[in-house]
Parts: sequence; C-alpha cells; structure tokens
Amino acid sequence: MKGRALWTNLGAALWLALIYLYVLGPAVVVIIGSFNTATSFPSDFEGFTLGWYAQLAEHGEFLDALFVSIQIGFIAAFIGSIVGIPVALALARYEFRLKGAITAFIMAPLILPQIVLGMAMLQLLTAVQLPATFAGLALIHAVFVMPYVVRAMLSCLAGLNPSVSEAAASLGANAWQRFLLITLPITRAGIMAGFIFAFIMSFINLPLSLFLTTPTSTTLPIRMFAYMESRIDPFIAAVGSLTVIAVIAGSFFIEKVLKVRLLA
Amino acid sequence: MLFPALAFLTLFLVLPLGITLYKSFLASPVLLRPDDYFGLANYLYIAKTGIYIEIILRTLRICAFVVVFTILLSYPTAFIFRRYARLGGGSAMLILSFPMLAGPLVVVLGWMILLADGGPINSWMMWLGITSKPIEILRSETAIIISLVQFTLPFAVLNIYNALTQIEPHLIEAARSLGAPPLRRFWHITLPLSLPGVLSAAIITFSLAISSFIAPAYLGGGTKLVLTTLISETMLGSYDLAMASTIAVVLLVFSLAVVIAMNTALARPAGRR
Repeated sequence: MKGRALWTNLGAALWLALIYLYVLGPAVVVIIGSFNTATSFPSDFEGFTLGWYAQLAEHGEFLDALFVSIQIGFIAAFIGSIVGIPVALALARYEFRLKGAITAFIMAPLILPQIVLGMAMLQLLTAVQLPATFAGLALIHAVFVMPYVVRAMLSCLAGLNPSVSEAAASLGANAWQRFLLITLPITRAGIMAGFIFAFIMSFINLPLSLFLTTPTSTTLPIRMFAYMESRIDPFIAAVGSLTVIAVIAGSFFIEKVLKVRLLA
Repeated sequence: MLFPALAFLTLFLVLPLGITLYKSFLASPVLLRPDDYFGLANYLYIAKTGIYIEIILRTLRICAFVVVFTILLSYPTAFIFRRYARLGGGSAMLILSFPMLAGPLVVVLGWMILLADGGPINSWMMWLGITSKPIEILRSETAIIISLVQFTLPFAVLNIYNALTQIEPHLIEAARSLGAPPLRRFWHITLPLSLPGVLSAAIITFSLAISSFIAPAYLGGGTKLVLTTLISETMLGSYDLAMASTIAVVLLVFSLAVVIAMNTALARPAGRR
C-alpha cells in the first residue's frame, strides 16, 4: 500500500512538472532569450549580455509607447473604478429584479472578442465624427477593464459583514458618511487590487487598440506587435521580459500584500 | 448605484456594437451595390464564398480542439491540486497563472522562438528520433492550438479546481466506508459533481479561443486566417468597414450562441445523471 502511494505521488509530481513546463515554458524562453548575445532567433545560447535591455534607451518609439500605455492604463483603471465600484457594492449588498441579467451585462466585456470592441469603438468615433483616438482608446480600455474592478471588489466584499454599516446607519450616519468612514476603509484592499488588476489588463492588451492607434498614440503591445512582424530578436524578448516582470510583480502585490484573490 | 455603469456600457459598448450591426447591412464595396443599399447582401456573400466558409469552419475547428485538449489537461491538474490541497490554494495556482497575467503577446513570442523551423522543439524532436528533418510547426493550425491550449489552461484549471473543492468530503468518505474502490468513487461521485465546473471551464476556454487574435495572427502565418484575423485583414488591408462589421457580427453570433448553449446546459439541475 505504501509503495502504491509513493507511485501515485510520483505520478502526480511528474504530471505537474510537465504541465508547468508547458504553461511556463514560452515565457521562460523569452526571458532567457533576452540575455542572449545572438542577434536573432532561432539561436543557441551564445553568451550572456544585458545589452538588449540597454538598447531600450535608444528605441525612443518604445519609450513613447510605454508612456502611452501607462497613461491609457491609468485612465482606464480610473474610469473603470469610478463606474465599477458602485455596481460591485450594489451587487454585493442588495437583491433586485433582473440581477442575474444585469450581472451578465456588466461582465459581458470579458467574453466579447476584444478586436470587435476596438472596431466598434472606431465606428462610434467615426459616426460622431470625432477622430479623438486617444479618448477612444482610453474609453474602450475602460469598458474592458471595468468587470475586473467589479470582480476584485466582489471578492473583497464577500468576506465582509454588512451589519457594521447597518449599525452605523442606526446610529444616524447618512449614506455618504457610511461610504466614506466604513465602506471605503474596509474595502481599500479591494479597490487597490481592482485598480492594479485593471491597469495590468489594459497594459497587456493588444486587440482593443489595433484600429484606434495613431502615430502619436501607439500602445506598447501594438509597438511590439509591429516590430515582431519584421523580426524576432533578443531585443523584443527584452521588452517582453520587462512587461512580464512588471505585471507579475503587480499581481504578487495584489495576492500577497493586499490579500485579494484575483483568480477565484 | 447601477446607473453609472449601465449608462457607461450603453454608451460605449451597446451603442458601438449597434453601429457595427447597422454597418453590416450596408453593402461592401466589393459587391458593387448602389450607395443606398441596406440589406443582407454581405451575409449572403459570406455564406456563398468558399474562403469565408473555410475560415468560419477553421475557427470553430480550432476552438473545438482547444476546448477538448484544455479540459483533458486541466482536469487531472485540478484534481492533483485538490488532492494535495496545500498546493492548490495559493502560490501554485498563482504561478500557473503567469501566462494569463503576462498576456498573450509575450507567450506567443515564446512559442515563435520555440516552434521555429530550427528552434528548440524541432531540435529535441530530431534528437529523440521522432523526426529526421525539421518539420514546419509554425504557420499551421497545430501551432495555434498548442499555444491556445497553453494560454487557456490556467483558466480551466481554476474553474475545475473550484468545482472540486465544493464537493462534500464526507460523500466520498461514505462511499469509501461502503467499500467502493477509488475508481468507482471517482466515476460515481467526483466526476458527476465536478461536471458543472468542467462545463464552465469549457465555456471560458471557448470564448477565449474564439476571441484570440495574437496567436492566430502570428502562429498561423498569414494563411491560416480565423474570424478575428479576418477582421483585421479586412480593416487594415482594404478598410472595408461594411464587410468587417459583417464578419464581426458573425463572430459575435457564433461566440454568443455557443456560450449561451453551454450556459443553458449548466443551468440545468445539477446531479442529474
């Protein structure tokens, strides 16, 4: 019996090892490749260099794109939070008619193809004859990230006792006071987690922006995508590695410091 | 409290999609219709044109393969996470989710390096004696499927893992004390009770697969078009807004139809077998 348990454990470990290799392999290859002295892929590992990262300083267009992506991410996460937080509070606290349908509607941007969302936003801008593509970019990113804000808030509110707010109400606190003095402080982790996660999801997204970029408002993923059309080299791997590291640091912060579960 | 979100989504999601639907009824320039045409000409053109049908079928075929392989790989993984519960809750799951947090662009870049004609996967296969000369994996449906299964796997594991944790442990204990061997316990208790999780994993996998753009754009090599890459070709290639809108509506219909069908199956009373 003990021998069989050993074999079961070994089998499970082997399975997990293969799954992790499969799932993490591509990102690891990109990170390793970014330190390679070779000038293009495919190539063996010829030597270690940090030169590709240093090259980023010479690629002004990537730094501009990074700046655009950060701006878009902030605006989108901000709008998403303003609109998403009240919905999450309503969904967590109250029962109302059509709640299921409204929840599905709020979450719809998650399952709709993002390339369609981006094109639809272009159609709206064209229809109102507003070529304001930066605003269009920020708005469609906000539509897309709002559900993540709602989700983070809901996950944070799930463990919350509504009676604290009710107690405050019975002691005469009005709705604004309750929101500012009770709900806001105890949901601070959820709000921060939602904001960061929304930022990440906007930051890494490409298809939303595909039809809305102009030479002055090109996001980082679009810039990478255009570069990869012509060549695959350690430089683009270095750009990719940097985004991976930033994004992973952000999500670790959410899960381990803010203790909000993103993935449930 | 609902109003801001509902107004926001109506203005910037429903209205744009409504305009897209409207545009899909205007005739594409390739059809040489009068300027004031309004009707189903684009849809009929898609239904009659072999290349479009081929692309729709390819899209659905890729999604079907991705759903099947993702479920087959993620069920045992979730089961192991559940069995060795210390692994499941925290870091193991978070680490498995890195690709979805890192985003498809970096992941696809990794696959382009790995699957290249002279790349590592080909070298290993030659070393192992599976093939004698490099085979072309890039620019094929296989490459798209390999990458999409990898990308959707964490989402599916998460859904199935959540369903497995909902199963009352004493149900399995009861079966054990009545003398049911492990396989029978799995077959009669764990599997049927986890099916809703499998179904929701299949839904999310399907909608991620049908919406995916970067993987088919790069790993399909420009010839293996799917609906999303067809939209970008139609837009960026010929700026044919009418036809691109029509394809977008077709994509939405397929994706929503499958999701709604699966959701209906999910909403049926659980535990009926």
